[in-house]
Amino acid sequence: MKSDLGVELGGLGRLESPVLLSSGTFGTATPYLKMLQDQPVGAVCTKTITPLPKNGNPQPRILEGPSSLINSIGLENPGIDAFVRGFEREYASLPFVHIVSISANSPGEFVYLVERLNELRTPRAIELNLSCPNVDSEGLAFGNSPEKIGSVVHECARISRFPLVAKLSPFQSIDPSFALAAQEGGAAALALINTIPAMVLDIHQFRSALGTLSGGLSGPAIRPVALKMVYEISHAVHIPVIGMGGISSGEDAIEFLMAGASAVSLGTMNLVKPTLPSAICACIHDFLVEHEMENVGEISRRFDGLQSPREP
Amino acid sequence: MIEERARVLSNHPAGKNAHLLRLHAPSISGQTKPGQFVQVSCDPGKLLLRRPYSILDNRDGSVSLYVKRVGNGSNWLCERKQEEVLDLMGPLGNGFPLPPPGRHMLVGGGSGLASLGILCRLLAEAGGEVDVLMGFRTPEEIPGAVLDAFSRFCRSLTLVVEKGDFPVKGTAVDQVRQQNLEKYDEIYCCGPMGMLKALAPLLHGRGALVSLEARMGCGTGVCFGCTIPTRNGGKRVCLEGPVFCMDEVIWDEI
Repeated sequence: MKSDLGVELGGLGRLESPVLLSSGTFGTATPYLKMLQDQPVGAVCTKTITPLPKNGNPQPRILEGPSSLINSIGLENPGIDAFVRGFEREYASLPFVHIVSISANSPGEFVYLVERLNELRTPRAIELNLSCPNVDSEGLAFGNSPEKIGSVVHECARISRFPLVAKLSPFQSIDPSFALAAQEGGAAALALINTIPAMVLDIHQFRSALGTLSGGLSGPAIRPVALKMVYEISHAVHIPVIGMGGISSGEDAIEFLMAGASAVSLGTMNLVKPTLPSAICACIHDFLVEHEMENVGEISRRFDGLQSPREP
Repeated sequence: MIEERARVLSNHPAGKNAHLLRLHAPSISGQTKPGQFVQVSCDPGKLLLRRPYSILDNRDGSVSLYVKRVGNGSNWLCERKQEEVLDLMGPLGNGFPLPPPGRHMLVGGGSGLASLGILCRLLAEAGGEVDVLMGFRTPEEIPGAVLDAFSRFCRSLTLVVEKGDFPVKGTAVDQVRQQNLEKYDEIYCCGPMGMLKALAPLLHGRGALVSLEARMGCGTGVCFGCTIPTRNGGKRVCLEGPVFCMDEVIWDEI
């Protein structure tokens, strides 16, 4: 039997692989792209772009913890003007489907960014980063109520030439209200979860161990949290969910697909092992064959929660 | 730039709390330029991020790493046995450019001297004269086996030690202060941040190059975890570095 690893992502259309690469962990730096060559990647998401260039946060920006990473990069990016200017050269020639991630301080700025991206030809979608924990008032400010999220998505969807992916924070995923609002507003898909706001202190220096007061927690430590949110939300909405949060193996990816994600995305582990997509796809393929399934979507349909009695 | 499974050929102590590891990694070794580094997966399954290590030498299909014990990752690396296999990614970073033969000064401190190893050999092999200056905190830290990578090629090797019983006391910075810098065509430095910050004003205007150490997320230029401030904007140590013009770095803001 031939197993198909392609996935249908609603308004985003078909992707040839269920494995995506998350914003902030994909880049066009040459050494990285060399590692990524020939990897079966369904789509890549750019670093989040803001209206103006951002220098990012002071050092240290990275802290490793047990099975986790805390970052406070601070959305370092060249701003929308430079991004749009360099886009064709930097992204359009890549052999990957690309999604552009954006974030801004107000709904009006989000709309402005979408207008600017409408000039481009090749993105498959725009991801609205409604939840970066590292930037004061960006995203989070108007991300604190489902109504506001719904209205931002709606304003953007009215004018966007591209389908929209709403990326939600864990706080926006605690119940399905934000996800439903984004769906109502016209989002074509959801991405969850973003990093979890987190702190580490340097007790000897009486200060934060990061260059900022707090950062965002990611990596395998957050995986069960993300899985639960993906499960709850994917069963409450009818648009596809891209599941992410510490996925580091084929088995992890299958877990998210089984819980209801239509595709998965790699973040932290993409920094550590850019060749992970091929290992994950091989594992998913073997799983489909072993359980006589023809496509990735069947994995979640076979999940029955706690319905059937456990084998002794 | 590739991912390679590298077998441990040898692992010996090199001074107090440090080891010299030689790994069989022919692909990475063959592509390595002076001043480049590898990202090493340490204690996989327990430690998440790879650790960056400068390539001290790259002869005969191997890469040599000088590893100081500073935490969980380096402790684990120092305890690897012969024939064990490590997961490396590299070579990474821009590395040092190779200038025409001339007179060169290399200034290294602590584990930072590793990034100068291949450079020393290549400069000498190209017919240059290389004077090496190295600073250590104590005599016990002096890594004999690592010094071989320099002493066989350089014209002079000066060791200086801050504390303890040693002929030349002081810091590498003190030594640089006493040099007639005019006689050097090129100056290269790598070492702890305090040393580099002290060297920056002394070497100002001389086109000195510096290799920086940094805490890194990816090492491949995508995460922006290691960005430092420079006169030409933020730059990633792993991608646009680790080698920078000394005068380009904004030392006060690091």
